[in-house]
Amino acid sequence: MMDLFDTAQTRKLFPYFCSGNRGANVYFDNAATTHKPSSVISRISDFYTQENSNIHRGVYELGMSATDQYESTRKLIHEFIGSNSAKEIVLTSGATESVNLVAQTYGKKFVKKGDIILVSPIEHHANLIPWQVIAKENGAKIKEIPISKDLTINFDELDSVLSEKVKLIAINHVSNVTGMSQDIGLLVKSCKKFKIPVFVDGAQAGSHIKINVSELGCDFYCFSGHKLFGPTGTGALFIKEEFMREMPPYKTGGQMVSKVGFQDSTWTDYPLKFEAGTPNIAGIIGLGEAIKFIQNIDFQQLASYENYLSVLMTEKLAEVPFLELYGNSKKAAPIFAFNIKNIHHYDLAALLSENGVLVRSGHLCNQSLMDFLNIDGCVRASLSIYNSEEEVYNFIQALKKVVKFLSKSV
Amino acid sequence: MKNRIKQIISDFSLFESWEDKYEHLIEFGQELLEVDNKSLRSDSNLIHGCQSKVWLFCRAENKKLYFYADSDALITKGLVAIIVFIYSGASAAEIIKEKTDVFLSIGLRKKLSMNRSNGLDMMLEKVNDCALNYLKNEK
Repeated sequence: MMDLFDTAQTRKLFPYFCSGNRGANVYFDNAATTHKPSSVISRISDFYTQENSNIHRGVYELGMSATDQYESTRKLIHEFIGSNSAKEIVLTSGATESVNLVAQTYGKKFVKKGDIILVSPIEHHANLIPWQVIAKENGAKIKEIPISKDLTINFDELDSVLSEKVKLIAINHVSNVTGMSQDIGLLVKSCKKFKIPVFVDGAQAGSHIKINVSELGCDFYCFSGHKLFGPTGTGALFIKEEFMREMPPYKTGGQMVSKVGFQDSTWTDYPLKFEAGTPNIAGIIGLGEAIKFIQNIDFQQLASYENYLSVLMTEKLAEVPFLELYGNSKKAAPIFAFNIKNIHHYDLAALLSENGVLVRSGHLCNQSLMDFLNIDGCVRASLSIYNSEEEVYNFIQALKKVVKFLSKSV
Repeated sequence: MKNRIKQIISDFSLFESWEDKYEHLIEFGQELLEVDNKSLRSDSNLIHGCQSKVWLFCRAENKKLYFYADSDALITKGLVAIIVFIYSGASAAEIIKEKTDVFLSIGLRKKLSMNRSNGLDMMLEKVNDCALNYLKNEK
């Protein structure tokens, strides 16, 4: 097991931090993407140099071995998120493709004219726009899950929006802006009365909290590999088996067919019926390595270390005059969104970059949350397991310096 | 226009540290452009897709184009002020022909990158579009 409180050791596992000047930067943009451990990088490199082959086709050993490696990632993900079987896992290119897949398959089949899809008003665009599209296509409506001022589901008002007309609820597990988590278990229980399926966007959860879809009870759950130390262009989608059976394919082509005639074709069994074409084989095998990396982390220690960083960040941010922090309770991930009075978030982020601090600014692909907060954007500092106490101090020092510099001009 | 480009490059060459360079950029924007120009801040002048809001308006007079701009962020305001300073008073043909990358020459291109966050690319594209439209309408 890794000792997360020994940041120097953790950083040694990530070549990025050992690469000269770059490693000197304070990388606080982990909600956008995390760095990759050497085990993931070398696994991808090894695959291309020694094991390259297509999967699910060749009868030769190399091809069968590649298939086994690819399928072992599916098994690892099944164990990682606690699904009932590996057959409930679709390997995708990321969270965005996963949401689109469910919208265009489940949505196309089950959401009819006059039906409702409930989406929270604080979702990443990837968990909003695909629902808007299918709702428009099918003549259904998008309505809001009631959200309290503290940015969590308002369970007192939730019942008033639930009905037989609601065919799906879509919500994030952990916010990409605030790092706050939603009570998915309670939401699932509340939806049982009307048998409403619950879709959870877990893009920001996997590298911070233990996911167990069986305990959560949700029907769909997705995440991206690159936000949990894996390669870009990889991800996974959990679909409860009862929906797997009923949902039509998403894309069509090779690999997902059972029998092909000139006029008509039939589909292979799930989950492969959702994986048309040659997938990102090396990437998915790399994702398997990232899952192994995470499984080597003690999640209790992870919670304890990230909580330590969060408390320090909150304390230090409070020292900066006129700083407003958004949604700083029920944090499941050390993600901090803030603005400073009379200073534009873009100016702050651009000049923090000059000081070697890498953060995001803008609407963070979450314009509805910006509207909810009545702001047009903010700065986001998002931390991960390899960030240290020293980096928090460096970040705050740079922030104070930049604020002082910009304050001269406003 | 060539002289104005030279002047910008020469002015910025005096500054080496990021503090001095940005201080000059911010001051340049604040001195050249009006404060909170309400009439300019309309949806039709807004350049979409930037993290900060940028408004750019073009007017033609005596076969020359004149640009007016504003932004709600200090750095972006400085960037768009450089564009206004360089291209205002030039003919459409001169604008289209001019290929000097002034932002590369003053060392800001690499720092700020030509990406959507500051919209530099989109600002320059709008200037070019204004010139192209002018020539099209003239015909």
